[in-house]
Amino acid sequence: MLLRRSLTTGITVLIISTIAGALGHGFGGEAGLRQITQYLVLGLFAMSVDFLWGYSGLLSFGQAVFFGLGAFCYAWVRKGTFAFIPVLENSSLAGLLSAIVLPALLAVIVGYFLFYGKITGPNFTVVTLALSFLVSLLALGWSGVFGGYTGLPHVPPLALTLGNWEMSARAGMTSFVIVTALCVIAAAGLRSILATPFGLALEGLRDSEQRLQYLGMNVAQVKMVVWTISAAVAGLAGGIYSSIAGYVAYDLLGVLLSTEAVVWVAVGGRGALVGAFLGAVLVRAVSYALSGIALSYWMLFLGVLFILVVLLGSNGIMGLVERFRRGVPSATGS
Amino acid sequence: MLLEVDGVGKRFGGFWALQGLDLQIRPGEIRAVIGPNGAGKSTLFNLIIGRYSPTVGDIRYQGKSLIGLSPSERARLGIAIKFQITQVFESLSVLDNVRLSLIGPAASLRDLFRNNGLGAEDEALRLLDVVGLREKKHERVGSLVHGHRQWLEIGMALATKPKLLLLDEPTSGMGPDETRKTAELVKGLGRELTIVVIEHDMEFVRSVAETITVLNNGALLAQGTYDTIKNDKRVVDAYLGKGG
Repeated sequence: MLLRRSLTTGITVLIISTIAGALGHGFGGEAGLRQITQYLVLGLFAMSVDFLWGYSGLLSFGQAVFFGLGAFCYAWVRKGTFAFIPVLENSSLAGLLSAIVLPALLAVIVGYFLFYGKITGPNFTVVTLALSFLVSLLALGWSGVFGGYTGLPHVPPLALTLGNWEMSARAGMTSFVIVTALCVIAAAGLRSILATPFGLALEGLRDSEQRLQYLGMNVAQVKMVVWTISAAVAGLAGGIYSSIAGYVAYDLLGVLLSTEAVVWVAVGGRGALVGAFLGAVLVRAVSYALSGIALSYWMLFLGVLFILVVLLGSNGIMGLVERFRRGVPSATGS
Repeated sequence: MLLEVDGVGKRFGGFWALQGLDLQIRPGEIRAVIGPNGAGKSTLFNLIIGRYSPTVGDIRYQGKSLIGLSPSERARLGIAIKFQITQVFESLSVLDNVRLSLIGPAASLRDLFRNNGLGAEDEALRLLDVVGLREKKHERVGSLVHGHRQWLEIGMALATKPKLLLLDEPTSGMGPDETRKTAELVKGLGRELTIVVIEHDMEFVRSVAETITVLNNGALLAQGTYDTIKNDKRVVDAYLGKGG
């Protein structure tokens, strides 16, 4: 059961990535593929939001803090900011590791105050929103480290060396393959976590935190773990993003990206990882296509889309798929 | 004594919901708590489970004070509750509700991540047999009728392997047939654990409880067997006379 579900999720992510990549390459050649690769990374980011919101009911408008921090971590390591620390010399692996570890550490600190301070429901959401504001402004002001408005340019791409084997992800196809593989692994990994008793506890958390408490569960601890895992995945996505984009700036930490991620998940459908992934890729791709027609309208498009999904009350694309499945019984009668 | 409520008072603003309450529950006992609306019955339960903390007084469980312990810590000590308004996991199936309840108190974090039989299906099914809901195992809780939700929540409480089970109006919204079944269930459970039950249905109370505690206006009014209570003039005035 566990293995099958993880496998299905992984394969679905692989299929979505492949189709998106083929379309991107077909329409836009090398540049198109590169664009799609970025969207896949954002899809990974969206899955971290879904893990938190869709499964556990924790709606955060601060998820970009971890994504952005991950992006900066990779950039700092690759540009030699941490070169004085021997382990963190300029290597891609160290860059990605720090993009996971540092956001996770920040999550533990912030989470401690949030969850042991019993900040729940709408208050939680508002605090995360404030966090996103605060951190992005802080980054903007601290221009020596975060590069101010201009950000940090020329972030080197992923380059891995294993023995004699050397690989650089500058080529579009290589980075596409790496990103796809990472998305598949992350999706399957998150899914396998959800299949454990811990996953059931997360669903309980979403339905009734109080009931869970009166059953004896240490709710704050469960929240800490899901929050930290989600931050680590967001950080990893951020790290990869900066390796592909080659440029990071304070807005990667901000409210706009945080909100956008929530919209992706709402559009794709909550509580189904794959939905979040698809939502991110689709919304970004359509926004891009529209921006070709009318540059300044894609935000409007995003807003209208979000309002529509909320108004229609369905659970995004996954909700439609689910309804279709139930409405049309399959031949096997399942 | 399994549970000792010692001079407990609870004030909300200027209103004392409970005042100077003393109560002792023996291990193995089934105790009924009755009283008119606003008598402080549910407040008493909320103080025991740790939703509220008492303004004055002490609550001891197995000889140790509960004051300062969180709800989840109290649950892990073996105190379980079925709320007056059922609190269950609406989007999960009946079976998963019980499985999650089996997981609840056990969990060290490491256990939660292993598939080591924690929240095992056969154990959950056994509990569903006890409360008579095995056939509903795949139904979503949101679609259950009121009576079945009550039974489910009792099953969930049992999953935490409690020593003290608190039932707040377990038969509310039930017909005579379901009420009778619930009485049988409670009597059966009473052979293995201690139960305190808040009820309005006097026939139910008579059939399950040896001792009845009557609360009125946040204070103890009377205590004794059904017959003593029935013939107590103060109780008749305060409760039976009005409520039927």
